[in-house]
Amino acid sequence: MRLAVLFFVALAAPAIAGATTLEPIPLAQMVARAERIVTGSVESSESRWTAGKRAIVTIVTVRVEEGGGIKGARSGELITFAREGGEVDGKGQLVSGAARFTVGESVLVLLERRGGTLWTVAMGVGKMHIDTIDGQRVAVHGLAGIGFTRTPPDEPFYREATRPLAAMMSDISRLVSEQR
Amino acid sequence: MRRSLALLVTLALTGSAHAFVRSTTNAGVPVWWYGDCVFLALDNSTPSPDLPFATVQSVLAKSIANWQTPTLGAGCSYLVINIDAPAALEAKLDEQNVVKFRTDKWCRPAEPNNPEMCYSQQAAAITTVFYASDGAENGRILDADIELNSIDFTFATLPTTTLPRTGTAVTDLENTLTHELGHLQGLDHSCWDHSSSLHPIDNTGAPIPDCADVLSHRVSDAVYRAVTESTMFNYANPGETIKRMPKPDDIAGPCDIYPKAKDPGVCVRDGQPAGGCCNNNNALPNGASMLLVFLIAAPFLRRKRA
Repeated sequence: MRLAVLFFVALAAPAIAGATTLEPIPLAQMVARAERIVTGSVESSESRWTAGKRAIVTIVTVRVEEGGGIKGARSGELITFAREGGEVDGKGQLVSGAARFTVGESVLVLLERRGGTLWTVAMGVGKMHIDTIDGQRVAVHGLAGIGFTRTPPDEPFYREATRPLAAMMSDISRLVSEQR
Repeated sequence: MRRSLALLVTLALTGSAHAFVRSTTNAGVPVWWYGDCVFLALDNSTPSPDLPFATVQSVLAKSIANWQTPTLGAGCSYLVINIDAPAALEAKLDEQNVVKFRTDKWCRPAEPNNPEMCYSQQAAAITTVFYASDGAENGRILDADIELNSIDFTFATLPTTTLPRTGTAVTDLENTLTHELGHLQGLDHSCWDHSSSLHPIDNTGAPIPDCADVLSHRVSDAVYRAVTESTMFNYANPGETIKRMPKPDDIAGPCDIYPKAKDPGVCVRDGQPAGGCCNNNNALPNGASMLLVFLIAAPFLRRKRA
C-alpha cells in the first residue's frame, strides 16, 4: 500500500527547490559517477576544520557489510568519505541538503571523488538509510532534503522513497555490470 | 500512516497555531541570531551571467522584504535583515554573510593548505550556517552564506519565459532566495526528507510529517496542502514562484523565534559583542537599511499590485 502511494506521489508531484536546490539525475548516472557503492554500518563520524578554520567537514567511516561491496569495495573493508558540515571546537556548520550520519546507522552510500576526496553523490541523494520494516530490510532515501528543478526520471528510485534493499542492490548491481 | 494521524490530531488540538521547523545543532539546540539585526551583502566579484547586477540587488531586496513585511513590518518580530553595500566577499566563516554566485566552478575555492571543496553539480543553491555548538551561546548563528550555482543553472526573474543557457536548467531567483533566507533566519524544511535518520520535531514538539505522506495527501488534505505551499517546504515544481511569499506557517517562525516583546535592543555584527556593529561604515542604521530594502523592492511591489 505504502509503495503504491509513493508511486502515485512521485508521478504526481516531484520537482524541487530546497535549501539546497538539486536537480534529479537518473540512478544509472549516479552509479556511473560513483567510484564506490557499499552497504554497511557507520563506525565513526568525526568533524574537523579545513585549513584556516573556514569550514567544517565530517569524516565518516563505514564498515562494508558481508556482500555489501557493490562497486569498488570488499566485504569488511573500511570506507572513509566526507560530508559537508559538522561540529568541532564549539562551533558547528549546517549545510542544507548534506547527508547526516549517525554512528551505528546502517546505510547504502554511493560515493564519488570530488577534489581528491570521496563524497556522497549529489549530497543527500547518495545516502540511503537502511531500516527494517516487517522483517524486511529496506533502503529509505526520502529524496533527501533536495530541490528538483526538473521532473525526476520515471524509475523506481524516484518513484519510491522506500524500497526493499535487495531490489535496490539488484538494480544498482545490474547497472554496475552494464557500465563495465 | 500513524505519524500522519498523529500530526493531524496535533494540528487539530493546537487549533490555529502555525507550525514551523527550526534548524538545530547536532544536539538538537535550535540555532538563532544573537542581536536584533543581521547584515547581508551581495558579492560583486562574480556577478550573475544571467541577470544584471541591479536586477539581482532588487530581487534580493524583494526577497528580504517578502519576509520582513509580514514579520518585522507587522510588529511581531524584532529581527531586521540589513543589506550591506556590495563587496568582493567569499562564502566562509568570516562573520560576513554573503549571497554569492559561483560562475566558473561550483566549488569553494582553494586556499593555502586547503584544496577546493566542490559541491554536487545537482545543487542549484547551497546555504551554509555556522553556529556556536556549546557554552552559553549554544546555537548562536555566527555566519550564514548563500551560494548560487550559475554553472549548471540559469537564474531568472520570469522563469516560465526564460530560455536556459546550454546545459543548464532554469530556476526562479526570488523563489530560491526567499527560501534560502528562511534558512538564514534559522528555519528548516517543513517535512522529514530522511536526510537524517532522526525524526525532526516542529515548534510545538510534534514530529513533522514525512515528505512522502505530505506529497501523497496534498490534494485531498488541506493541512498537508498548506505544508506544500509553505516557503520552507522541501520541494518545488520547475519554474515555480509560490515560495516567493512566506505563508502563515513560515511567518510564525521569525515571529516566534525573534518576538517583538523580547527585542534584545542590541545590534551586533556577527560574532561580535553588543555595540560592535554600528560603527562599521558599511552598516546603515536599522531604519535606514529597511527603508533601502523597501525602496529597492518598490518597483516589484508596485508591479505586483498592478
